Amino acid sequence: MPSADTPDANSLRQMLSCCPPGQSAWREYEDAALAVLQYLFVPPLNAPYPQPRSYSGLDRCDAVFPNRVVDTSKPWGLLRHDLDAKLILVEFKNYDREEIGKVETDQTRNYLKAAWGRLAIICSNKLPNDAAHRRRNIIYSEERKIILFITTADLLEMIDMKDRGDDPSEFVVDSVERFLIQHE
Amino acid sequence: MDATNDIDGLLRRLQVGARLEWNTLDPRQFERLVSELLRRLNFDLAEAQSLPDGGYNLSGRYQDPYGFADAVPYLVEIRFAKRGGSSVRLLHHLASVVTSYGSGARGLLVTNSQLTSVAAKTLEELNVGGVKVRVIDGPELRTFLLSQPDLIIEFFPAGGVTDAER
Repeated sequence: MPSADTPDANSLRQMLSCCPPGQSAWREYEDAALAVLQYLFVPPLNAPYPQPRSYSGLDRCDAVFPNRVVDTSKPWGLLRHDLDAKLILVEFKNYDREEIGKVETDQTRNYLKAAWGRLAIICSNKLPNDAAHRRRNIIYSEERKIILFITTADLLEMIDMKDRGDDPSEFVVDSVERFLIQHE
Repeated sequence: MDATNDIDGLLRRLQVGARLEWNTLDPRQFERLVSELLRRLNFDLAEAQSLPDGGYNLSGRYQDPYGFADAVPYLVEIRFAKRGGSSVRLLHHLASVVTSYGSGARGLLVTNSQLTSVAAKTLEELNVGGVKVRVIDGPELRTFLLSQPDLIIEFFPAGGVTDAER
């Protein structure tokens, strides 16, 4: 049962749909998508650290979800086992005419520190372009890091999964499996 | 034409359909339910060798009830998931088993969960690639079962105890 200050599925759907694409609404999009990810995955994941900075203050990523699940029969436990995913990095992109491409994919790769594990997510209002897809294949070949592309449509699908009693984490596992199968 | 008959029939189906709660079944009961349903849909199936990593549970043939087409060999995997279940790897595994089997075989995955869009894309690509794999997922399975109310009554009794357990 959601508490008074926890948005329910319908308000989350509305928050996502009301964000106009583009720079002017980046904060709105980030807040909405972060709230959705918390609704979907916390628990079993721990509450995220929003915008954590590195010691020098040079790096500041959008959100990091601690994953303390070690039971490999559970989706997040499996991801922790397979990808050493102790901290899940999430970067949010709310772009309009600009494409989400190689630069954004590289930025996410650089934020994902070895100590965190090898799973990151770019959560965006539209699908990254072909260059981004090629880049993440190269990143996996070089460093075995997986960067998932999760769109607003995927977030909405996962809300539906949770609504009908399915585990939305399975969507993440399916996405990882699909990435690994298509990787070349 | 007596419209009340149709309405009564619809109401009965709705009442019976309301019993359909996957969580009241265990994996073995689910397999028996699906086997019986497939038999009624004109599959002639036998239990296949059980493989530790899945593979397929049943193998046999589907016969077109009107005899317009030849019987088609099928390998059937039945997967019961309490809360969803990842399907991409499962689909690829079934596809590879079907390919090795040869003889024009097709694969059928029957599950109570609903495919994610990621798994649905995978299925589409497999079929475009020439491997014939079909999925009956939770919503479609429900639709098939609604046309077999006696199966619903047998496996989802009103009191929650199946006939098989009595």
